[in-house]
Amino acid sequence: MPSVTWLASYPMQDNHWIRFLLASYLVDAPITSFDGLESELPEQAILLRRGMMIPLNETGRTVVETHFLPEADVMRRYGEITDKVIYVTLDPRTSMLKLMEGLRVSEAKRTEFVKDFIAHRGLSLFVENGNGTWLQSVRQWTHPAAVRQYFPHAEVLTVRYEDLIDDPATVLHRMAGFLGQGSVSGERVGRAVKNGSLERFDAVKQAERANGGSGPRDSQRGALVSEMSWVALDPEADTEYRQWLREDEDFRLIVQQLGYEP
Amino acid sequence: MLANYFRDAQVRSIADTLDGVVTDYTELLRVGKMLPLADHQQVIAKTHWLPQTAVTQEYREQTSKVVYLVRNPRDVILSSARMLNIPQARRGAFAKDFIAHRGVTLWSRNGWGTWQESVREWTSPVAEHQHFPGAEVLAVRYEDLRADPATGLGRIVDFLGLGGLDDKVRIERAVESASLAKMRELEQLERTRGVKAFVDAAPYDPFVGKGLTNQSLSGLGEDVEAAYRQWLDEDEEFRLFVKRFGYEA
Repeated sequence: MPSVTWLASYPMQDNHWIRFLLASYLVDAPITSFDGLESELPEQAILLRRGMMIPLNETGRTVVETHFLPEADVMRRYGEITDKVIYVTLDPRTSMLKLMEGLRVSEAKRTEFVKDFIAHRGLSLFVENGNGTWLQSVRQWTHPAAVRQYFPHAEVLTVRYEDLIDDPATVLHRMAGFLGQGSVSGERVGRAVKNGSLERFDAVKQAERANGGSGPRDSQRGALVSEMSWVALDPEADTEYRQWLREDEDFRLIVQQLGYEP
Repeated sequence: MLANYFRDAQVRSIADTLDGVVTDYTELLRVGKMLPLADHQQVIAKTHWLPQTAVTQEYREQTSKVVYLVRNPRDVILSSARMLNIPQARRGAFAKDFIAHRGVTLWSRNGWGTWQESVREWTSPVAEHQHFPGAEVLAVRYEDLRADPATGLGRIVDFLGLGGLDDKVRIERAVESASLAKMRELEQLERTRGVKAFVDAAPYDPFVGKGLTNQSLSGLGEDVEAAYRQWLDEDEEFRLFVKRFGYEA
């Protein structure tokens, strides 16, 4: 019986690298191209762009990356066959910084960008694209009652991107255990961490670009934002963010629960 | 033009059309939506995908009509180069690559097929019946639509059962609302919407071109024109399609 496991997240937070890391574990071998990555652990938006639905494995699990909300039309057909969800979160402030870096927002417009993100509770482009606000994405994918509304048989594992960066082996071990592929071998996790490292990912990305491919559109650095920092922004940005926290109880609770308090 | 006709008003943005009767299927899927069949009895969806792709076959049984827009492959080559922002100096190489691969490789990879695959699968009765057993097909030449848009649109709306040639005033309004100048205005607006407002715009060639027809490839180099002629000589199916649609000159 086919089943689907979602690797879900809000867009543009180094999702391709996380996919690369998990795929490296699943195949237990180095991934050498983005076509290879697509065939092992596809991204739903790329499949759709190519006119494809998810190629279900009739006898087992297909792991697919997505940024769509569970409520999106294109998710409905997978409601009954979704068995697991791994949702990756990122501090909303880091998310904004990564977005500005990835979208190449000019320095003069950064405060305005942050204010716009806060006013719309996320990037308005992502809302239009069916990815929801930051809060909708986290809530629909991680709150058990919300998830079961769309995926009645799904279990959920929430992973913090920050923990994945700090200690990829431990977090990948948790993810592998959650996927339930027998007992998790530390050696295999170690190989996946090496094969799926950010450095290897960047090397594959560079090679693709050198061969004329565009590569994925993640933030430029591929690691936690290092060229921009929240404190370097205009203080108005932080004031707006704190106001969002004060005024929006749902947001405040989720931020607290995930350990992203100021 | 068709969306303008159906709404009897000018479409102001792509987002405007997404929940409507005349919609862009690629855009819909990009934002996680499927065709709004539950809300409308008839939905008209624009697509570039081959009919056999999984996303198109979702509507195999419900598809009743197909309007296929065909354009002179020479113009398709030139228009593609402009739309893909290929620098002038590399357009000759791009055209030769198009000819060698019978289309844009990226588009083939995206499920749109080569130029002739697209024409064959959408317009050949046998292929079409295989993909959409209940569908009728109307092939419309882009050049005819450019030369006389009102008559072209009239044929299309008549075929789709949306009205017809008798509704001339409405057809004229739709044609006027879809003029190239108005389409370019819309494109400008789209380029400043949303997140684009925060990013310094890079120079680009407009998506909406001049709508030129029956252009020569010689401007890209005589070798490009020669490669095109060789394609015609060597590929019988291509030659037949070119002849069928009157693109021999």
